[in-house]
Amino acid sequence: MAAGKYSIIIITATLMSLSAGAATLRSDTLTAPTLRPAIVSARGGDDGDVLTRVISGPGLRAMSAYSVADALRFTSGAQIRDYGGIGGLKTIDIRSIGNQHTAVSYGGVTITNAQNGIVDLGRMSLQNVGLISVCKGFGGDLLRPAADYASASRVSIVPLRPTFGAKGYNLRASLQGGSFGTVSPEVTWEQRLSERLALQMNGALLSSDGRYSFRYRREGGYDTTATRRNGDIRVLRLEPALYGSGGGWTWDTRMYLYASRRGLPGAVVRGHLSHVDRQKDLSTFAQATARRDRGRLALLLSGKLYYDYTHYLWDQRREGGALYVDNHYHQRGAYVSGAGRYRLTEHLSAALSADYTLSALNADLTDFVRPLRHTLMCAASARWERGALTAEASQVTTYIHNKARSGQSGSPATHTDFAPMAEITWRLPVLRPLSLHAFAKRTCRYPTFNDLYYTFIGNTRLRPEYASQYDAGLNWSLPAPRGILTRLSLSGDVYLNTVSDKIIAVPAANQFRWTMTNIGRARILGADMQAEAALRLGRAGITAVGTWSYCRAEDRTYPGSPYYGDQLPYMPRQSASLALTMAIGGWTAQASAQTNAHRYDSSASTAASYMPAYTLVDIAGGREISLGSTRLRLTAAVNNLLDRRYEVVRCYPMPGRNYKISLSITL
Amino acid sequence: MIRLKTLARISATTLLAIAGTYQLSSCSDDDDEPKVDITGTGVTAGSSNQSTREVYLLNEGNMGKNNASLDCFDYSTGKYFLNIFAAYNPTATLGLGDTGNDLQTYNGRLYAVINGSNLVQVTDLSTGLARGTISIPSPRNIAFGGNYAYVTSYSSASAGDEKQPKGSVYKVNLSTLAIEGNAVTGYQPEGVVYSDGRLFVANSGGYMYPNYEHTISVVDAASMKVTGTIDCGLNLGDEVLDSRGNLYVISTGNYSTVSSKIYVINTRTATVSDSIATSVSAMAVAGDSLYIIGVEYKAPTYEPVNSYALYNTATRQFVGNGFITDGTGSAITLPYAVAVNPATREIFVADAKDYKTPGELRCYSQKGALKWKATTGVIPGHIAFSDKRLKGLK
Repeated sequence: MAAGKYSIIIITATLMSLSAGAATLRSDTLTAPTLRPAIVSARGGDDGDVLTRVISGPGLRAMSAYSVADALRFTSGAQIRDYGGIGGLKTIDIRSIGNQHTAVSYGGVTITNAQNGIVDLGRMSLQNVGLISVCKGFGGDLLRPAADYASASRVSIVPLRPTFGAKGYNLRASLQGGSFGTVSPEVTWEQRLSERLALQMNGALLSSDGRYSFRYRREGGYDTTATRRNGDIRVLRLEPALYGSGGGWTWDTRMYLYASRRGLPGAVVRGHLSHVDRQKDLSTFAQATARRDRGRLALLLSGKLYYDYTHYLWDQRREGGALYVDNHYHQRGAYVSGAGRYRLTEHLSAALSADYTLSALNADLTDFVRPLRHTLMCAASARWERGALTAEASQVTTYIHNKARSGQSGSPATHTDFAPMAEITWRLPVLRPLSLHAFAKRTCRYPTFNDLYYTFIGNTRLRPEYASQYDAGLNWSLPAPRGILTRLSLSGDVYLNTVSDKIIAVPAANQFRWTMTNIGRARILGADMQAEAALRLGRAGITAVGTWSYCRAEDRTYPGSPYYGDQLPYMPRQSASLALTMAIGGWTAQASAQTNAHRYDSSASTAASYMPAYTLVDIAGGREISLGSTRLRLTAAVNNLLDRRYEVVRCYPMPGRNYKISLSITL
Repeated sequence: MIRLKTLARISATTLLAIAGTYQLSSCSDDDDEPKVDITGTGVTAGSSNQSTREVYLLNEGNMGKNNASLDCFDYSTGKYFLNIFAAYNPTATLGLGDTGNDLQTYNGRLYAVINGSNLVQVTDLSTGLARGTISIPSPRNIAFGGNYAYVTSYSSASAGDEKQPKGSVYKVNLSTLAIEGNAVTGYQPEGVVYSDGRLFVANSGGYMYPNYEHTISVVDAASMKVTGTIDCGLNLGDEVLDSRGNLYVISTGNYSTVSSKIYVINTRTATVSDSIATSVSAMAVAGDSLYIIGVEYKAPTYEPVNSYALYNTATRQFVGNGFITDGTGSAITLPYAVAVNPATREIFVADAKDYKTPGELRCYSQKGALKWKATTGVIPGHIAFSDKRLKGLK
C-alpha cells in the first residue's frame, strides 16, 4: 500500500539501524561479539549487596570474551540482545523491563545517550577493564551520583587501576585474533610519576572482516548456506588516564577516544542477503572523578565533557533501491555531579547527591529540530544498620527540560518525577549466614530525542515510561571452607515488575505513519537463581557457577487483543548457564554452556513468530609462564563448539563454531 | 559435567518439541499434484456454487523480518488457510520473502509483488506451485495487458548518477518472465493501471519529503515511451480503474497541511475530470460503487477515526452511511485494505491491528453486514480473487 507507509517504514528502519550502532558509544571498543566468555566469577558485591553481581580480576582475564556484552551473558535475569557480527549492536535487558532502563557507567560516570537511550555493550572492550558489576536493585554504598539511583538497574564498568611492583612501571602488550578475520593488538604503559601520581596509557586497534557462514534450512525443504557480508569493522581506541591521591582524596582523570568504521550487515531476507550501509563513529570524552572518604563525611565529585559523531551512509543504488541516506549526527554534552555521605551515628548514614547533565543533538536531517536537554537530578538516601538488620531508602527527584532549538514549535517538554526505593536485608540468627532481602523500587526512563523529535514519528507529548520493581530473595554462603569446598554460595530471588506508560511505536497520524505513544504496559513475573562453588583438589582449583532464570513477561498493551498477556518479544521463559574453570599451576581450562528456551519475535506468540531454543557450549584453555619478571600468557578458545546455527534477533544469523587465540606479555 | 549433559538433554528435548510443531510438511517437488498437508480454520459454511473459488490475501509482514505471507480463503470449504506459499513450496529458499506490496491474479496465475526481496513471485492458481520469479529492483505494483505485466519500481534500468534516481515501470513478457522494456517515470512511482494500450503511473515522491510528486506519468505500453504527464494531487498512491475507463487515484497529501483526496482521471482524454474530497487511505471499485477507507487523526487526542465511505461514481454522490452498515466497523482497529468480490459483491476489509501482531480479514455482505472474519498474518494488505480451485486444500 502506498508510498507514505513505505517511506515511513524506511525512516523507521533507518532509525533502527542508527540506534543499532549510532552515536551512543562513548565507551570502549574492541569487540568480537561472538566470542563468549568461558568463565565468569560471579558473586555478591563486596559491600554485601546480594543483588549486585560482580565480575572482576582473574575471572575477567580468564575469559575468552572481547566485550562487556559477552561477559554479561552469564548473569541471571539478564538477556543480551545481540544482532550478531563483529560490529553488531549488543544491549542488555535486565528482568525484561527494557534496555533503556539499564544505566551503564564507565569509570563511575553514567554514559548519556540522549539520542536513543541505547548503550552498545558490544563496543566496550574487556581489555582495560578491572571490574564489571551488574546491579539489579539498589546496591550498597550510598556515596554515588544521583544518576545511579535513577535507573531500574545498572551496569558499572570500572577500568583497571594501575598497581606497581618494585620497578615503578608496567608494560603490557597483547595480540588477539581468530575467526572472522579478527586481529586486535593492544598496548598498555603504566608509569609511576610520584608516590601519589600514576599515568596509564592504553591503546588498541581492532580489525575484522566480519565474515562468517550461516545456514538457513527448513525441515523437508530448502537448505541454504551463505556468507555474512558487510560486517567488517576497524576500530582505534586510545585511553590515557592519570590516577592520583593527596589530601585525603583519591582521583582519576581520563581521556577517551574511540573511532570506528563499519558496515552494517543488516537483516538476511529472501533476495537480499547482504547490505551496503556504512557507518563511521567518533566518540570522545574527558572525565574526572575524585573521592574523599575520611571520618564521618565522604565526598564524591565527578564531571565529564563528551562529543559523539556518527556518519551513516545508505546508498541503495548499490542494492537496487532508490533511497539515499547520508546523515551526520553530532551529540555534545556535559555532566557534573557532587555527592556527600555523612555518618550520623554508628548505625545510621545519610547521603545527598546532585547531578546536572546537558545534552544536545545536531543532525542534517530534513526539518530536524536540534534538541537540547537539561537534566537535573537530586538524590537523598539513608542506610540504617543494626544487628541483623539493614534498611536502605532513597528518593531521586529528576527535572528534565527539552527544547527544540530550531524548526518545530511546541512547548518545551518538561518533566518532574520522583523515583523512590526501599530495601531491607535481614541476616537470620539461624543457619548463618542465611540472609533474606526485599526491595521495592519505582523508576522511569525519559523519552529520548528520537522518541520526542524524530522527523515524522516523534511525539513531543510523550511522558516518561515507568517501571516498578518488587523483589524478595535469599542468599546463603558457606561461612568457612569445609573439606575440599573453599567457597559455596547460593542465592535466589523472585520478583514482580510492572512497566506502564511504555513508549512504543504505533501506526498513527494517519495509517501510513508511525508515532511514539505511551500506551504500552507489561507485567513481568520472574525468578533468578545463582549458585557458585569453589573447590580445591590438591594443586587444582575448580570453580563452578550456575544460573537459572525464569521470566513470564506479559505484554498487556491491548486488553481486547487475542494476544493480550503473551510473552514479550525475544524473551525466553527460561534460560540457564553453567561455567566451570579449572586451574593447575600455570594452566587453566574452562568450559561453559548457556541455554535459552524458545522465544517469539513479536508480542503475539504464534507459530509464525516462534524462534527455537538454543544451547551454546564454549571451551578455552590457557597457559601462563614466567621468564624472570616477564610473564607470558597464551589462551585459545573455541566458541559455539557444537556449531549451533541460531538467531537472537530474527533474520540476524549468529556465527557457528568460531575460534580465538590470544597472546599477552607483561614486562 | 553432569550439568552439561542435562543441558544437552534439555536442548535435545527442545529440538524434538520444535520438530513436532512443524505442522506444514513438505510436498513433492516436481509434478503438478501437490501433496500438501495444510490445515485450515473453518470461518464460515462452505458453498460450492461460487464462480469465485478462492480469495488470496498477501500479508506484507514487517520490513527486515522476511515474514511476508500468503493466505487463502476457500469458498467451497469455508476455511481459511494461513501461509500457503510456504506450505506448497517448501523448497523456495526463505519463503515468500520480505515486505509484500501488491497481489493480482491474471490468466490462471497469481502474482505477488515482494518489495524487500526485489521480485515478483509467480504461482499457479490451480496447483499453488511456484512458476518462477520476475527480478525487479524495489517493485511496487503490477498491472496487466495482453501477454505482458507492467510493474512499477522505485528504481529504473537507466538510473544515472543521481543520488536518488527516478523510478520507472518495467514491461515483463508473461511467457518468459523476461523484462522487455522500461520507462522512467517520476520519483517513487506507486499505482499502475493498463487502459487501452496505455499505462497510467502514479508518482509519489515518497522519499522526497517535503517535495512530494504530484503527477501521473502516461506511458505507451507498446513502445514503453512516456507520452505525457497529468498534473494531479500531491503524493499519489494506489489506483483503481472502473468499467467506464475512469481511473481513481489516491492523493495522500503531505500529512499536515494538505489532506488526502481522490482524483478521477478520464483515461481516454488523459485529463483530471473530477476530485472527491474525502479522507482516504485505501479504496476498491466495483460497478458504480467506490469503496473508500479513511483513517483520520483529529486533535487534540489524535485517536484514529476510521471511515468506510461508499461513493456512487455515476451520481457522484456519497451513499448513506457507508459500506459497513451493521455497526461492526468500530471493532476494526486499523483498516488497511479493501477489496470487492466482482461476482458476489462481498466486501473484504483487512485490519492491520498494531502492525506487529496478526491482523484480521473481515467479509461483509453487499449490504454491509459482517459475514465472517479470520485471523491473518502480519499486516494483511492486498487481496485478489481466483476462479480456479486450489488443489490440496482440505
